[in-house]
Amino acid sequence: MSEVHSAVGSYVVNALDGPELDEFEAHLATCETCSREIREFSEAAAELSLLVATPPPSLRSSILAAIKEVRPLPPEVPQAEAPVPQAESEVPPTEAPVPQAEAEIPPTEAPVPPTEAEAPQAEAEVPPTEAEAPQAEAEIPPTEAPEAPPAPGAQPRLRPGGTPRRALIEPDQMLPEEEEDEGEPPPVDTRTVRTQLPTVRPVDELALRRARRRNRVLAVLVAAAMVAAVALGGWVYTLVQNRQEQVAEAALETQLYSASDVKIYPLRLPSGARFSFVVSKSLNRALFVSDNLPAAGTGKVYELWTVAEAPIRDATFQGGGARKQWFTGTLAGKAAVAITIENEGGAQTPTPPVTAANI
Amino acid sequence: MNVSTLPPGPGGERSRPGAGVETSAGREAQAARLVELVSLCSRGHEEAFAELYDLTSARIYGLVLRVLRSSEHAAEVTQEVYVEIWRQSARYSPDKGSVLAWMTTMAHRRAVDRVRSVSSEAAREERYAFSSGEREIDHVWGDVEQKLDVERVRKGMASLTEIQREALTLAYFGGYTQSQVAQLLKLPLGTVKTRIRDGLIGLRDALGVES
Repeated sequence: MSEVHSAVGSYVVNALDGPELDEFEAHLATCETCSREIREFSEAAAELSLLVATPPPSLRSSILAAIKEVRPLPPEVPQAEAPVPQAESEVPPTEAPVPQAEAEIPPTEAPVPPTEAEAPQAEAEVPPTEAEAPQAEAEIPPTEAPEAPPAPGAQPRLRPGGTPRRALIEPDQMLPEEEEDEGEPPPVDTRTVRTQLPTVRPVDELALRRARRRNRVLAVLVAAAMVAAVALGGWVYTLVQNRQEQVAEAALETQLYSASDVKIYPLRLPSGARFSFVVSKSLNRALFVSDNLPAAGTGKVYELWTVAEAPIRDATFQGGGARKQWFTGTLAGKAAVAITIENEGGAQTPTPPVTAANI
Repeated sequence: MNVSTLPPGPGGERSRPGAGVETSAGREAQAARLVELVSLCSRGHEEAFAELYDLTSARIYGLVLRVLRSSEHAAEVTQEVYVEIWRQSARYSPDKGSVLAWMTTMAHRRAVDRVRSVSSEAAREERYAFSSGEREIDHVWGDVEQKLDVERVRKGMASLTEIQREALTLAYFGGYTQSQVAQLLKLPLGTVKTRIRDGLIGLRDALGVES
């Protein structure tokens, strides 16, 4: 086995870089064995993706909105005299009569009703559970949620790729990337955060280095949170005006979403509004998230509950647009989390219908 | 163009998002359904795309998150991957491999590109801080084990030697280049190449992957 051939495994797991990659791809073009191994190894590696992490619920709608602005490329049509795949505009329509014509219709022009409305069921419908609570005790005083921010109505923006990509498994399967992919993430100002870090005396070299590292990590967190905020329609941005709070909030959410035992329960309110409970028992934290929560109604509020034997009241908050609300109470010993609509001020026992998830 | 009527899947049953189909027959049925969905995507069916997303997003996002370690980066890269899948849907051909392999290859490559790009230098640093040898690896496989179908994958991984598993894990989930893996494990590059390849051969044989 030649030296270059032995890199086939590294190629499949994207562990080749620079000259190594060029060398291997040159070899690949002429090596049937490598092509076959790549196919097999890719299938094996795909099995390793059996991971449990669930994407945040907002990602789905963001992606479904994003593809509306993207036209699927037409299929590649083999051409006798042109081994290099041609750009789609150069493919004569006669070469691919039917599918070509269909593919030419940009999806954005199709009179498609909003995907949200009729997308395959993305969330599990959980029938309202009968929560019987003769006398639930209010262990935790209701917390007033901050005012719901005005939903900017901005559609989640398609984030261009921008990263140079190599050909996929089969080089002939991919066309060169179109230039439309060029684009930079929005600039992010992290200076504020930098200046807020404690100053460290230069004598302590180690501490200084640590601080620098923290600084960079924090800067990246802010940058990442803001990029995500823009991508998700800017609502995180408007939700928290104080950047310091935003960092804390983003860090808390990052922690929650990356918890090893995080579970996401996508549900639907009786009004039809979608939302999710994001729960990590190990962190003892739970979050209510909705992209588009209707107002609870005049004189009404949403109220969260944690349920052991009896439901225990948790935070109350207003609806309207994108909404997140942390549970304030402990999850220890709790069997479920739930939400109801109650009169302003909140109730001591939940008023049906109750929408709940067993945790 | 009416996209409201979507041909039903085999058996007429759809998986819950992220639940996956775990039996062998179920896997085949799902693989066939994914091919259909990609084909529908290439003709602009957004509903088919939504179903494709629901059937695959846990695995794709899970993989990207495992490599990137940051949920913000992972959400962003996952979005890029799915938009690219939509764009490239007409270029997928079943003779080149399963839809899942096509998608995970694209996702893994994007995730690794992100890790190696300058902008995520600091994120990278954060990842180094996370990494702590054995525990890191155990954690990865611990997560995998939570899946219902993991017994098969677990057996496959168990059939590898410890050193193969380590090299493969660092490269695949760590997003390290083979040179970096060599440095981390203090081994010659040639040895690392061989271990990664042998690891994939072992996994392929244990999982009975057909080409």
